[in-house]
Amino acid sequence: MRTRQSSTLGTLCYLLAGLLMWGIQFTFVYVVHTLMCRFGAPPSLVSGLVLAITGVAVLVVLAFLVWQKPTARLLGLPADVEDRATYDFIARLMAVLGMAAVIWTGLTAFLLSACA
Amino acid sequence: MTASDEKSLPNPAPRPQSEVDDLLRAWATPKGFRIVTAVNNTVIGLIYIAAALLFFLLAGALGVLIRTQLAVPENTFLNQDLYNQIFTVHGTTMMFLFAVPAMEALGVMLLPQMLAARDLPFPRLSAFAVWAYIIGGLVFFSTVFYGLAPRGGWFMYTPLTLKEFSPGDNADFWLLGIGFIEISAIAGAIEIVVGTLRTRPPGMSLAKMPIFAWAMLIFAAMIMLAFPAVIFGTMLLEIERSFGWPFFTAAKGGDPLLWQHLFWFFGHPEVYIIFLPAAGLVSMIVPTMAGRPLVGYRPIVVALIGTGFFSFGLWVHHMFTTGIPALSLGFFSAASMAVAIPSGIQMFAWIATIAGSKGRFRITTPSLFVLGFLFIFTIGGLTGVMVALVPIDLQVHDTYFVVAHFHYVLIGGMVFPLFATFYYWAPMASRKQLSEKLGRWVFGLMFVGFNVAFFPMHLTGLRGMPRRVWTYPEGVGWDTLNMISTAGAYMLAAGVLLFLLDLALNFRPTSAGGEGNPWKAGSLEWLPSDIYSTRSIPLITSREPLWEQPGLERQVEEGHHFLPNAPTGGRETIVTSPIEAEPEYILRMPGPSWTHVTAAVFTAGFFLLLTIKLVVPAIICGVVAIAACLAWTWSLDPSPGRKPVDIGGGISLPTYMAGPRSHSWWAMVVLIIVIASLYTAYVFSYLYLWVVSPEVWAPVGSPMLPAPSWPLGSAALAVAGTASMVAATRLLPEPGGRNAALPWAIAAAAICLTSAIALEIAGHWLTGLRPTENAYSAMVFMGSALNAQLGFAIVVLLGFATARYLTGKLNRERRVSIENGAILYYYTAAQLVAGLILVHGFPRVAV
Amino acid sequence: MKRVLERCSGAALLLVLSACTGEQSALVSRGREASEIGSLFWIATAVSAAVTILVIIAIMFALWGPPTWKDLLSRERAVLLGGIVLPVLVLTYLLVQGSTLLQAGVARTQRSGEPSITIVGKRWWWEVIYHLPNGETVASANELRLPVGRPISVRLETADVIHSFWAPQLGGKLDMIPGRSNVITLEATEPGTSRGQCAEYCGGAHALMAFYVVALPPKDYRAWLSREAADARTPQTEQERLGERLFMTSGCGACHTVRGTEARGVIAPDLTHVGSRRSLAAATLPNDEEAFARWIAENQHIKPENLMPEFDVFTPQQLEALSAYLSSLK
Repeated sequence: MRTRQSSTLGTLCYLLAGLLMWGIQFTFVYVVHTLMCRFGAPPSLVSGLVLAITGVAVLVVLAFLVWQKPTARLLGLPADVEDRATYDFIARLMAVLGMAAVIWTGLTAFLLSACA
Repeated sequence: MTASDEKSLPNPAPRPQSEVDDLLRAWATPKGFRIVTAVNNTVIGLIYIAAALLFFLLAGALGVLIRTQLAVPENTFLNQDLYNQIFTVHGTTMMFLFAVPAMEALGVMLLPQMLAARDLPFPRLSAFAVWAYIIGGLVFFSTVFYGLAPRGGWFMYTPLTLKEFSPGDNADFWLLGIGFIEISAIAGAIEIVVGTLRTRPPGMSLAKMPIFAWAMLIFAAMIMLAFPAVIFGTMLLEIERSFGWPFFTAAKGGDPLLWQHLFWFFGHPEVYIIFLPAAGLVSMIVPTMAGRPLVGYRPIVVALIGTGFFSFGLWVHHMFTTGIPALSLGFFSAASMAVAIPSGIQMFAWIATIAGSKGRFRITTPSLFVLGFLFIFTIGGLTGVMVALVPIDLQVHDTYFVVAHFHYVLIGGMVFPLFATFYYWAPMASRKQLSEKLGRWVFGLMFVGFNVAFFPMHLTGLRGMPRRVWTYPEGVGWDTLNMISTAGAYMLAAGVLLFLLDLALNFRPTSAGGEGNPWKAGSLEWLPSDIYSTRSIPLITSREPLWEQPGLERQVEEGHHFLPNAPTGGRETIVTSPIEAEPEYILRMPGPSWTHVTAAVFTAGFFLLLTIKLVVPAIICGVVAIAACLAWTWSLDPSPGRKPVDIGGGISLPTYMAGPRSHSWWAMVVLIIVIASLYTAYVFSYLYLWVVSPEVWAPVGSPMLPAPSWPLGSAALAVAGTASMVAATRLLPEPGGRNAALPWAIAAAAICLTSAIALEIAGHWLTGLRPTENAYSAMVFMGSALNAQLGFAIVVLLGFATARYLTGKLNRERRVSIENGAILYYYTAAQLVAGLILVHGFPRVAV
Repeated sequence: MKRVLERCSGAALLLVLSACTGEQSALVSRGREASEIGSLFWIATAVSAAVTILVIIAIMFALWGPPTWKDLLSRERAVLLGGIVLPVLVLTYLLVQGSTLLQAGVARTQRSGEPSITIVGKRWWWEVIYHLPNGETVASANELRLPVGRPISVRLETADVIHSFWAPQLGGKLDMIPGRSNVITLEATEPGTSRGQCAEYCGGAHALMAFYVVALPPKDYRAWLSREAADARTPQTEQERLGERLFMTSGCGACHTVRGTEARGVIAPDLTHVGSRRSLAAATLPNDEEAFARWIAENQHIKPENLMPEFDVFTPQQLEALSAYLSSLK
């Protein structure tokens, strides 16, 4: 009954991709905002940077959604596993969830002035 | 089921009865007082749940006292100091000694049954955690009877909890209490991660795992990432209290807010650590009562993982009023919105499952508690969204509105599912079901009482009543509302008492299989079982095996599935691969023992004596505890010299495994992730304090750093030690052989590592830097303190490995004991070098 | 059954409406920020109520609804619609509302300039310091006076542990944290008195650390401030003079200041105009002669753990004299 085994770490990354992207974006904007304001960077520059980071994150999540199958292959998930559809669905929905969070995080930079 | 299907079972031929006798012998529970040495998950799990329930009752009683005091304005029932102790102990006990342990207890009790594993992979570890928790918890709680209890709130904000404002040992008892839950939580996390990923039945791929197992897996992952922050925080607090290293003292460059960051980085995920398993339980109960599979299994998995993830981006929403810049608050407000979506997904998935019931949704006591949960948790979630909006939080933060909110979330989101669980799973652990009739009364009293007690608190808070006040003046508009809340609290308490009556009347615990499958559920814990769990371990092809694999109960009971016997004569279970659950090897497990019990008692003694500053007896206890741990682990690496075992279906499995596929390797990796997140908390704290007080940093505010030769020397030693450790693993002799160079390589590795740590400390000491000087110096020495801690553990582990070698129990095949030491060693060397780069590099670049 | 329901919902409505009363209620606004937050609060409450009702209806339909509805509800699509689409829409709306309001507060703080009042949280009372345009400072305690219609920046600091300044009728709270200096902007919109309280648990007598905010028309405020800046009134009657002597000779001046006398202590509240305040001991007692006497003789019973010792050395006559003196410090 032995079939090709999925990579544990690869499966984890595949399932979590969208949320990982939010985690990275969140950490970045928080650190960038805290540090740059602490050392007197102009607020408009900080806001711009936060929005830029958000933009990149949105693009990465979009790219994941578009090229989901090749990403899965890259991460070592065999295509012929019977549960593959389940994993694909979970990864896709997780990316949608991550996307919402990424956009909301960026949205606050539109509404609030930096460094105040 | 046709005859040909029966033929395709792993063990189609009839099995001899003697196999059952073997299993019974191998898994026998010790009798009489020796029951404390038991390790079976069904026994230990029951003790664990009972202890958690006891703490729920004790902390609940304190809650009733609080409500009694607040029933009328200017009450003198409790005095100020006692009230402050009581609310601190109420919160601490509920969060640390009830909620988290209760969920771990359910994990210990239910997971192996749901996965048809014979036990959790490290039975003695869970038993150890249980006993340490019971002893430590009872001692912590009893301090409230002698006026020794902490009075700083369950959140223990600095500087109120520093020596200056909290003299005496009271605050130290809080640190003690939480120390135990830290130990048992980490132990539980290791157990649960390895248990869910490696001891599933063959064929149960991740995508077929019961939702509760998913929830527990995420629960454990969250513990791994969140608890280290509070472990680190409590270390800092205790060190500042005992030795005056100023991490939190603003006058010396420390910052009280650092405590809040560390505490809430743990504290917020903590809420979801409690909630996720409860949600998992609900996802098990609802399909049974609906008589159909869960609608939205996949979205629920997404929701559980999403909740776990987002919960790490919320911690600052407990700090909205501390004066943090608005945009930072915005980020956290956004994340707090994001975490509401997964709750919405689960809510609608449960509703969908109820709507899709085959026939009518059965209204039983568990279903009532679930429906009560849906209602209460919805309200709690929505008030959660309200407090996540920064402006609203500025008003209601630290008022009774928030008290109402989190009781809705915690009692609604955790206690109601827990009671549903009691009623639902009691037949699995008891010869008799709990009373459905009494159960309805329990539910009614609890549901109405809860809402009467806590709904008015929203208004009390909006009318301006702050939290944590022991008294309030008449006529501010809080009198009537408080009286109503108190009446509700009594009603809630009456419901709980009635539940106890039900338990006394009907609960007859047994670990030899309960009442069968009274709810006609579809998951594996309802398979016929005995003390050894199921007779054979089933081959799983669907999510609800009992519904979709007809005849499974009989096949399992007759031994037609995997491992219907005890081929090695001892306790064993099948270890499978993490994603697809292909059988990999037979895990031989330890049985009852005094060693882990002794270790637990003396670990508790160590911390207790340390708290009351009896250092020498404490150290003696510590030594005994370590000795007991070594004695306990001595038997855990059995000889591999056995032929592979046939488990059925033409599969032969080895009975020994080392390297990355072994359960022990996995446990070590989990532990290393915990240690690494603790170190991350250190790095964060270092940089955070630098942002707050760059003026105390070297070279301006503190002595110049030691010359580069010091860190380079230290790094060189770490590299040399690593090389020597690698050499040691290569020098392992053939079984039965000897290699005189091995002990020398091990010794060299140990000496290199300890010297590397010592060199780093000495370098700073010689520049005149002292840890009590300022926040910078305290952080510098703290880094070495963390390394030294690991260094100590590694010296013990390497000593253990050497002893194994000398007694001929360590060789090229039987190598788990050195492997564990080695991977911890490599990690520690890496941590040390990373620390050197931070401590020596950062001030040179940044200032 | 229906009657009972009606009566219950009637009672609930009454409860909700009555939420708006009370001198410390966050829903009675006498300040710009409080009224803005109040509106956001009602929006969020309405949305929450709507969602709760929706969920309850969905549960009822799931349990007892017609088969077609049950069928619709039980699809995975319903889960995604109700669990993702609905929350995303609702939450985006709320997030935008919340952030916009937060930004309004930020802008107000940026406009209002340098703080002209400093409040220092101490265990367990509030030191209130007014910074006059000429650079002088006037110390008072446990009462904040504000001119109506002008945003006033207030600096918040602490002398010991973390406290949190909260005047619910004016606006949200802000913490006082060692080593930091936070600035809150308060704008009273109508004259009147309201109550506030420490919101961050600060140990011991945290429950008894309250204060009053008195908003005055700008003219009255200026007049009050110049009176407050003056030295203490000299005792007029024999009894008051006896009280003053006792005050000076019993060591009270080691901790308290009475401007214009030799009492220059700085660790306890400034008593120069204590007689004109609305309360004693951080809004724990009313301000009258009897309260002064009780406080001096048995303050550890009234407010346990407070840092003033009980003075039980005075005869009743002496206590009366002391109280008369302190009350006269208008």
